Amino acid sequence: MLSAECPSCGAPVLFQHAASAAAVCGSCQSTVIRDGIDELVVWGKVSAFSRDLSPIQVGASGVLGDRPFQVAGVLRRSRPGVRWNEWYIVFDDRTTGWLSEGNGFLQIFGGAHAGAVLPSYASLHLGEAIEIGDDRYIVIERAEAAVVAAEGELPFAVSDGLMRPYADLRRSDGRATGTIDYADSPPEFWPGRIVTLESLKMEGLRAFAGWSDPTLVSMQGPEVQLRRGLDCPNCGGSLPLRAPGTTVQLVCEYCGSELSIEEVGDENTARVLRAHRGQVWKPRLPLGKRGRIDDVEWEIIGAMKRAVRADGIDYPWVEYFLHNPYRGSRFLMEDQRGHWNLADRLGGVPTSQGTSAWARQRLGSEVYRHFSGGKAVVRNVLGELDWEVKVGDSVDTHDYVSPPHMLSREGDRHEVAWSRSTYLSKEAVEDAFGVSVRSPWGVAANQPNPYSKRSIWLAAILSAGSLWVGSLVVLLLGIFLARNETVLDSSYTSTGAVSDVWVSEPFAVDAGFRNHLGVRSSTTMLRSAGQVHVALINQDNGQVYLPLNTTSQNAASGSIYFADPGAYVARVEIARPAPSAAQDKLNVKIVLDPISGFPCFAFFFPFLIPIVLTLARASFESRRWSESDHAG
Amino acid sequence: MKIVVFMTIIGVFILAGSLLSTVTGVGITTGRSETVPVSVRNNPSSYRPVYGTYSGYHTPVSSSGGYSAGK
Repeated sequence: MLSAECPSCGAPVLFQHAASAAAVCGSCQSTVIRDGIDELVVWGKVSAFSRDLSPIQVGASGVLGDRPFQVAGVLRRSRPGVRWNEWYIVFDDRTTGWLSEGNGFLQIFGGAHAGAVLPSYASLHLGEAIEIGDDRYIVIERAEAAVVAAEGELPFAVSDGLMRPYADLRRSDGRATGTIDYADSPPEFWPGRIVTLESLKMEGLRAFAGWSDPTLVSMQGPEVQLRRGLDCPNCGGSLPLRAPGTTVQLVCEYCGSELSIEEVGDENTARVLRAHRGQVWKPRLPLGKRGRIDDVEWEIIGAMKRAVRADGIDYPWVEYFLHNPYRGSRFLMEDQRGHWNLADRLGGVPTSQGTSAWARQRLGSEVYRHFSGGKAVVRNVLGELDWEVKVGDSVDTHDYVSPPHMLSREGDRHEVAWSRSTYLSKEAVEDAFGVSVRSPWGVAANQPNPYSKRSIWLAAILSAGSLWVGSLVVLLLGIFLARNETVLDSSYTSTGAVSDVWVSEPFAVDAGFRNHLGVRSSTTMLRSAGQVHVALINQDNGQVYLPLNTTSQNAASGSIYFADPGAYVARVEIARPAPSAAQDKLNVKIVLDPISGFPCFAFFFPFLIPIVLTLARASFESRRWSESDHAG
Repeated sequence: MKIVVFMTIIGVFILAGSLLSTVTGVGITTGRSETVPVSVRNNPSSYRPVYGTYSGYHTPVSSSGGYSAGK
């Protein structure tokens, strides 16, 4: 450890790590570098690192795999509209690295990769794949950024303002990343990976008033008050700043003016980007509202309405910008039909299965189908955002779906960003934020098909199976219970006269509970040539039953239930409009207490359940894709 | 899930109807009946049915009642 006086102001400057070559004086913000063993030389000045919503601080520690490290210093870098932190870490074995914190991600870089053949900065194109060593990366960002603030120890001296080109890379696995630093010649490649505070077992994090995270129990120091206030320079309205340091832009809640938020030390100032007077857009969920989704608490700090225009029609949606100092940011999205999604910026880049934008994308084991594309234009903005955006800004978007997930690709000339949304039910949003929201209608692009759920098919199979077994039992019971006794089975031959009438031998129907008669006739006579009539005449009481309904060309059947007991005869007649030469055959069969045919319907009904479910599922998918670019 | 519940309820009703039909032997009545006098009972071939419920060709019926044609 080296402790020496700052050559500029005399304040003590501490070097705790031998790997550090420079440090920022906490008193005068001079960057001092080591000269010899214990001499310091002033190299330049850098702005003070103002406190933002990062829970990381100099002195915090963690473990990467089995390598403990300590946070020794920090750089804040910036390019127009975007800011992020790069924490300088020193491992116990005195090697160094960086913990980059920005755009919703935490990436760790363990050291530069020596000897890699790297493409030139000018030859890089957004979205293209490049090979570095044996690995394949996608270029997701290509820009220049400057150091705008620093604190603590650093591996090199820095000063404000110098723009340095860089390229950020991603691999498709969602974890591995890389960055090429083009500041020096030759450029350096830093392989990295996406991590979380939990996975690094970070200790000594900052504690924020009003926030807690049960998974991160080690927080040091007094609670930090997050909120700051500032006055709108356009209307004078008093505005809360809910995420100082993170917020780059704020839209006044009173006048709608777009303000750029600048940091001067621990103070924030606002500069009007675009003045506005008139009605201010109010999203459905108010700014400052907190909700708990998947056991993580989020606060709405900003919102914007965007729309894709197709065939002269705007298709708008609202994006709420959610923030948690320990978890970063998320987007809660509500489309115009009341469907909700929770979106997260994607760590990796999906693998395209083709060359066109319509090609399917694979992310992990999931394959996403292209749904729609267009130009998303910002219509309204309110509150705080961690990047600069104004009404009218546009990006090219493409959405790919694999319900309940959706991948969205957004690109401009600097950056290609991927995000993954997960469909949220209305009830989930209401439970999370304690508010009542409208009921959705129609089918959302990534809405889970309710008829595809494993549980519903299991229930359907169980239900159909139970009903089928039940009907089988009833069918067998019917066969067992029915007497099914044939009391008449006679055949006749017609003479061809206008009316041929026969009277059968008498048969008896005894008194009983199931004295039902089933009558069936069949004939060789065409239906158009005449008719068959059967009348069952009870000779004891004069009751006559006319049972037949024509069911097909040459056959008829019918039933008489609870027929009066007694001696019966059947009067059988073939009636014609005119005499015929045909000698048609006729058979009449009468069965006492026949087997009921009704259970047959119950036997086949269960098969309707999976059929109806399949049709419902297809109908749902049809409605989903009718909204896509692939409709029709 | 509603659709499965709905169809299951319908299925249960049909099954219950089937069971009732099986136990009692009763189904959907397809015919109709009337009472004829003793003369027709004794001479069944003289019975004349009412053909109103039948389609197709009807034999001529002169009276308003079925059996009356055979009186």
